[in-house]
Amino acid sequence: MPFMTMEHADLPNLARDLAAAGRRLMLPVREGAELFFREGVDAARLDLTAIPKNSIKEALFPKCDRILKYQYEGREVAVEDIEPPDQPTVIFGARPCDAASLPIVEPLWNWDYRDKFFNQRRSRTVVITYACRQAPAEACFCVSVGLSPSTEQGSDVVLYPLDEKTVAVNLLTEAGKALEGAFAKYRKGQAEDGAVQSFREGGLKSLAHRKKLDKVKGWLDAHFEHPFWEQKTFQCLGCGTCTFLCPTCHCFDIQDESVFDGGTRWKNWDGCQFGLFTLHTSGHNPRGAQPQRYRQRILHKYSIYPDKFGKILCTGCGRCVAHCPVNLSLYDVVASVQELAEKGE
Amino acid sequence: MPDRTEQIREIARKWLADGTVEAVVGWEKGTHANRTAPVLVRSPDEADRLVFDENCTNNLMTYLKRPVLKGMQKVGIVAKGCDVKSLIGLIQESQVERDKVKILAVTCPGVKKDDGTVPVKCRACEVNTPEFFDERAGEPVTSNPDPNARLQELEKIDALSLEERHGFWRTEFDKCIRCYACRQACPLCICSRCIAEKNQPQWVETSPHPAGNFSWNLIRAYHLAGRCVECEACETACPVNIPLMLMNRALARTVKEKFDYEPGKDPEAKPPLRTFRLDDDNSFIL
Repeated sequence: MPFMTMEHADLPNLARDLAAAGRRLMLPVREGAELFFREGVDAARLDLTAIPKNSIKEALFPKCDRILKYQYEGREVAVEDIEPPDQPTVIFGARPCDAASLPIVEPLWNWDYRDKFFNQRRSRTVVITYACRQAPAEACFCVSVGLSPSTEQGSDVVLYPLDEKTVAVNLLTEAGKALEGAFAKYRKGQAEDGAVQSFREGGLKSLAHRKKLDKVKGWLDAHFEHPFWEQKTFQCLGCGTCTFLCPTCHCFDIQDESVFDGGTRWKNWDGCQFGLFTLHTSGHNPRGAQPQRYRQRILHKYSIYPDKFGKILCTGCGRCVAHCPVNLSLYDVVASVQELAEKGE
Repeated sequence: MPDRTEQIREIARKWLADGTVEAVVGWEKGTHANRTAPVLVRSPDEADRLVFDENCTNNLMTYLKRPVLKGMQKVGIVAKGCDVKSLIGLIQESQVERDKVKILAVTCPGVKKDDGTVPVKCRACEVNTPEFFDERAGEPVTSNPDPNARLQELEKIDALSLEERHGFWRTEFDKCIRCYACRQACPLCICSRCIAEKNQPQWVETSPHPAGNFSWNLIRAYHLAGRCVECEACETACPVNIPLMLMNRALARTVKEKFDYEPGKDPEAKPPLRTFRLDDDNSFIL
């Protein structure tokens, strides 16, 4: 069944229509020289010319989230649960590497505890993905982690910009098909046979230079102690940039903020690159030095998470590579591991 | 005349070979066309990794906080004029012993930001040819500072009413994600336990909500007042593009006005906000 096509210039109008139906809308917009995913902005500002600096995870796992309120009453504490918002949401213009992060992190949020703050938002969110005709950034490496510039996982709708003017539309899931009416309004024709297939092949070709990382896990599991870590990670500042821009990173910190006898419990983004992350109350810190913390980041994403959930905790979006203030490229690190493994070192 | 990269490599190689230093912190070629990355070289044959070009934007002095370097008897460090200023601050505050650091200064015509533009600090630079060094690489570069560069951007903020200013900063701080890249990149953020990492009591809310973000950003700016040398490491590192330098320059302007002091120039000077003097102005409290 051929895909319908629409005009690229109609995308902001479609986004506006979807928002008008009482939905929360997240879309990429320009701020200065860069793009960011933002909510509550005019759909006319939709900008799909580059990969946004932040990821879509903010829509499902905000940087700070109220989870309960408490009030002391004498020796008792009254606790009031806070329900996560129940608003239908559209993420318009996610990249495939953004959408693909959702099925990767879903098992984590439903492992031993079903996190309603993520699940509620996820169940109310429709993801409309803008596939990549070419890799949008030098830093991209989705193909190295088993994905591609037109990967479908996690998406409800995939848009293929066949050229500057024409976009083919793939309504993938039930939630995607439910938007058929909204899309039909902008229908201009249908995609030619093979057009989307060409599109997919073109995207893959643009990343042909990226390494396969099939030997990385094996090397990681066998080389916990290795001078490689200290040599390779000297420049790491131990900030949270890579962690907070990453679509799959999900660590959080619980903070109680009280005023006299009552307060709010917050759930905030946290990161394993911070010095305090593993500091014990005894004063001992099993990861007291930056190379140990960076090793943990790689191990978690490329070995421990795959062991636990069967998926690599990385979609190769390249944000960590592009935006690390000291140019510590995670891709460079894992590609170096692959090389060491291939050489039998 | 060998270029700066060649000279830096030669000096570093010599220092590492004759034991002058145990290691040299410098820049090496990055993974993308317009990037360099900080690197630690420990042997003479590694000296060829070092480079210097307009992409050497990072201030390497921040690495002097690292235990691996603090544990060394002597460390070499490549430094532009702005980086040297921050080292002078570290020496003033006894964070670094002068004779434990060998300064491999390099003359610098200016660096470029990621978007290709010239940073304000380069337009205002008076230290293209550093005068505080152990050895210096590069042909001298004449400084030609634009006297308005630093304070030009403040004029827009000065023109806002207090309410408008609050609105401006509220919008900017709302973006903050508390990644602390600003703090980690800053050479003068030296506290082994940052105020934001203390919870007995919790001075600063760690949550990245507007109140917490106001607290964090204002406190950090204040902790650097009279100390910040405007190397722009913080603003460059910030992933959400908060114009941190506006605060830093505004505070530097006040320190200059009230104390006639500019940090990063004289290692013997006593920073006014850290020094008690009998003739300190008390008119505002008495």
